[in-house]
Amino acid sequence: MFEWSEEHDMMRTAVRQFIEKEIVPELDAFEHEGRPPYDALRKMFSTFGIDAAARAGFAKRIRREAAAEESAPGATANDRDDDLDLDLGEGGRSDPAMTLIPTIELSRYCPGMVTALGVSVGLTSAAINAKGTLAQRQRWVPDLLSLTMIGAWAITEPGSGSDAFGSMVSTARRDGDEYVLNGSKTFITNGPYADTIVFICKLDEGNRPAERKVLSFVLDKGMPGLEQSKPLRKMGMHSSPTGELFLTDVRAGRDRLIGETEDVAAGGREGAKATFAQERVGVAGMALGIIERCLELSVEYAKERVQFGRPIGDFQLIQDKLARMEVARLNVNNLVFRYIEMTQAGKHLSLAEASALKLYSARAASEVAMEAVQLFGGNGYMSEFRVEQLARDAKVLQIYAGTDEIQITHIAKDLLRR
Amino acid sequence: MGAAKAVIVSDDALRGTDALGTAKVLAAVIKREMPDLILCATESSDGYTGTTPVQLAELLGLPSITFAKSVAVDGSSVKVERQTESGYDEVTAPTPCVVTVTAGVVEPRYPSFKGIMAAKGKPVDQLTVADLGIDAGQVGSAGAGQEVVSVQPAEARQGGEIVVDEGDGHEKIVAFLEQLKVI
Repeated sequence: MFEWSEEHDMMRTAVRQFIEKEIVPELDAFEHEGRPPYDALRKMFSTFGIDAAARAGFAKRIRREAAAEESAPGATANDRDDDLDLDLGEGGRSDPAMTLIPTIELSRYCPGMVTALGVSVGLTSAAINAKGTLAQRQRWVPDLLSLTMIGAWAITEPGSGSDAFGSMVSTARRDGDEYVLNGSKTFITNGPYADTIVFICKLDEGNRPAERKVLSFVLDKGMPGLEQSKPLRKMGMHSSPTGELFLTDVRAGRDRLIGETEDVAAGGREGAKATFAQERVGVAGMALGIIERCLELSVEYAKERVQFGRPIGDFQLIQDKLARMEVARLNVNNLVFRYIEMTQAGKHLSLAEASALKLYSARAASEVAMEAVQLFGGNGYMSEFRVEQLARDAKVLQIYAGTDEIQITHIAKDLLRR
Repeated sequence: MGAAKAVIVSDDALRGTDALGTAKVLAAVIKREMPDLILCATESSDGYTGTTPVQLAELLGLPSITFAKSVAVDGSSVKVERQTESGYDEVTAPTPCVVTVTAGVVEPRYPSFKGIMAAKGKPVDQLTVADLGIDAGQVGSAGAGQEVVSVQPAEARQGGEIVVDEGDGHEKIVAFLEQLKVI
């Protein structure tokens, strides 16, 4: 794959038109006035039939698994693919571009919206879908996939970031048939507004924290003892509400324990790691959108901005910036194409490959966006020219979904294991 | 955006076709399909004659309503708000009929992803003039009642005059309007 297909281009054009008409005029409200992004995202989903396609895709998957289970009992439980397909009916085949295109297009203007969307539709639903029981999946996943409900995936704590499991202090204690949950989570995307929260914690059986099993629970907004903070103020991604969660003796039945088992392999670390790989690919899509837009704006500005009697694009130092941005765009675009083609061929990225893709794309997006600010000079520092926002937004791509440093360790571990 | 099929008429014999010739070809295609409602734009963005839709209606023997600013189908009739200089007329016509709509009346829906994926599978018939049973002499330059002998670019618009307000802006405006004999 070296270019978008005809259908992909039709989707890109349609989604871009929608975003430029429905979201761009309201950008300041999302970026600076605290308007939550969910209604705009829901409108995008219903406009393009993504909500209905996601529900249909989920139903089809459940049927397929039921049929497979009948012919080979037990086979699907441990081999469940957590990528979620859109069902586009006759002639529509599974294509990861369907989710990447909205990601890329939204990121050209409003990467925060992708963060809010991706955490709800991607992370939260995938966490439940990959390891949940059939009843749990049917209870929560279709509503998350269609944005009927907004999801949050709560792993990070004030004292645990990259060392998510090692330093985790949130706990679940058995109490009769139920669990009692306690702890606080921070930097939780959609935290302030989420309807459905996947809460990751450790089972406290009186043993040392390092020996505790990691469990995931699904919580609903409004459960007694669950407090969702107001949005936190942050550097960028202002259209993505980020908050804290405080749990004080929240009682959760076994029906809320993902997988309804305390078996670690089924419920905890493995589930979270499978979710990481998917998340990293999404970041590459966001990086591509940011890079594309910064490059377009920079080329336009280099042609129009006149200094010393000629367009600044005539100066070689400006040309150097543009050329570097184009190299980054080509590389990230190719990584995204490679992922699409691999997925279409039924192959999966390893965690190390996903890390390499994420590391490169995030760094490239940050560098390109900061160079765009530099190219715009004083104007670049002003919000009006938009590269300022994209530069602030891009930075977090190097931090969330695993910091650059964590990606490097995942890549190196894989190389040294061979 | 919901089209079930498309028909394209492509034939060298159509080169130079005028509005009436175009209407004849369209009428021949539409007769094969027998639709309940034929929607046209008001005019093309090249010839701008604005006559093709009504010629089409005449050739098909159907009623036509022009300049619709809204169209509602009710059973076997259409109800149209027809734009006029002073407002709009409410007009109804039985189907089948021809309706021309004004620009910006209806915004096309966005295609759904499902629709985009299905689009390639939708049939597109390509027809020639002969397929439609039309004598090639009736269309193209041969059948046209007019001939385009040359095309000239419109004269470029002159740049406007910038008047700086130095406290006498209103006087300059009044003088300008008087010069145009507007006041």
